[in-house]
Amino acid sequence: MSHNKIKVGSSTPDVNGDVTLNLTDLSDVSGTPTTDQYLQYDGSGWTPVAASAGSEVEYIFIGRGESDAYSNSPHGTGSFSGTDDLYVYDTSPTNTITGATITSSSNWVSSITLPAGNYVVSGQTLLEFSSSGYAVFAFYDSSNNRLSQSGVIGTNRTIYLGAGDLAYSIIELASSTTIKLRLQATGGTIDTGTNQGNTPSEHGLIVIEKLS
Amino acid sequence: MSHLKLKVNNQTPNNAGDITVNLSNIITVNSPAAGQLLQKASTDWKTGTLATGASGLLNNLDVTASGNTSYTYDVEDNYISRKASNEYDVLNNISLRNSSGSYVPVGTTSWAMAYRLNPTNFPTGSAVLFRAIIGPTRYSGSSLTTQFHIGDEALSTATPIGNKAYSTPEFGATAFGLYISEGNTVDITIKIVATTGTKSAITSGSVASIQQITAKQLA
Repeated sequence: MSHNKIKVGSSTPDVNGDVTLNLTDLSDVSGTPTTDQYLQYDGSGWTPVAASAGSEVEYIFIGRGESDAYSNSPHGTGSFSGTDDLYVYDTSPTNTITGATITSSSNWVSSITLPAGNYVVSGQTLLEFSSSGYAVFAFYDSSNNRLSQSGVIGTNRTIYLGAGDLAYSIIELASSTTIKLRLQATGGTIDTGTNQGNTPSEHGLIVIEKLS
Repeated sequence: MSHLKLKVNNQTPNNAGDITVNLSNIITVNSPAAGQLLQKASTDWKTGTLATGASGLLNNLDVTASGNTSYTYDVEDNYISRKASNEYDVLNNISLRNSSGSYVPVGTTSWAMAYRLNPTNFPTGSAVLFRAIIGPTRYSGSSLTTQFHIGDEALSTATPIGNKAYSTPEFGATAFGLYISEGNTVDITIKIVATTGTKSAITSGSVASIQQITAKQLA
């Protein structure tokens, strides 16, 4: 009979010609969901996934206190200018932000490219000074536009007295953006890359939490 | 014609022989709102919403710790904080371990030296972000450097999970720690990894109010 030749999804008609279609008979649904699972679109179809409230924060964590000489970073052995890029060391950074990429060389992270969205960014470093001095730093984009409020380290901070040590802000990115830590201002004399030793690698940190 | 007798999920063909089947013809979905997700129920389906915020696990709110400045920190000690009067006003799924043993300034059940996470509350893959600015009793010219670790014994047996935070009487850096569960019970500590000058003491009086210790669950 003709009705036996018909198939809707993976379901065939019964003897009355009726087809009972379940979600799992659809060609773009795979797997069998269990209680409390969700259907998640994976780009080509729907699959069951386990998820719970509070489990959806995507983040990046760079900086675990590991030791490596700053002269091994792209900064090299030379002196600092007042607007140098800063590098954060991590042999195994964590990145769960979909579409984000971390750029590094010899485990020294130089920048992070984030997809459009809103983020909380936290950045910190510590530098050696050959005499008293301070360094102001913040997150910048690749065109050196400052994106965050600034952190300050060191002594004799002049106009920056009372500042926190953490560069911290919410940043809203309308499109994919590459961000980095960069010096904003300095006072006194920052030691050369050679004389920084392991201090920046052990104290440097970048944490990025995606809000939306 | 025989094909006109065909029904798909009780939907009959139109005059052209086409059968339109909607999701609601396949499953029961009660008044879904924009942005909601399909969530499997025991016998059918329901709509659900996933919160995108992080869960707060730990928060220290201590404004007047009754400390004693004769108890001072050495390298390898665990930073301790008072807990006996509910100074941890947020404490979810984490238990506080009493200050005890060789790596604390003083052994007392009134203060905590570690945060215990078990695999029941934090199964493999769970991620917790710790953050701390310490508030010990300090003396001129002194410094403390802290770092989050897994483990409350000697540094040689503990595993660092974040940056070192250097602080002085004037300036306070922030220590972060990322714990990703491997399915074990662990004790997370804020270890003293370096110190200079006159030994800093446990927090006392209103200086406790500048101490910030938090943890939130990311995954």
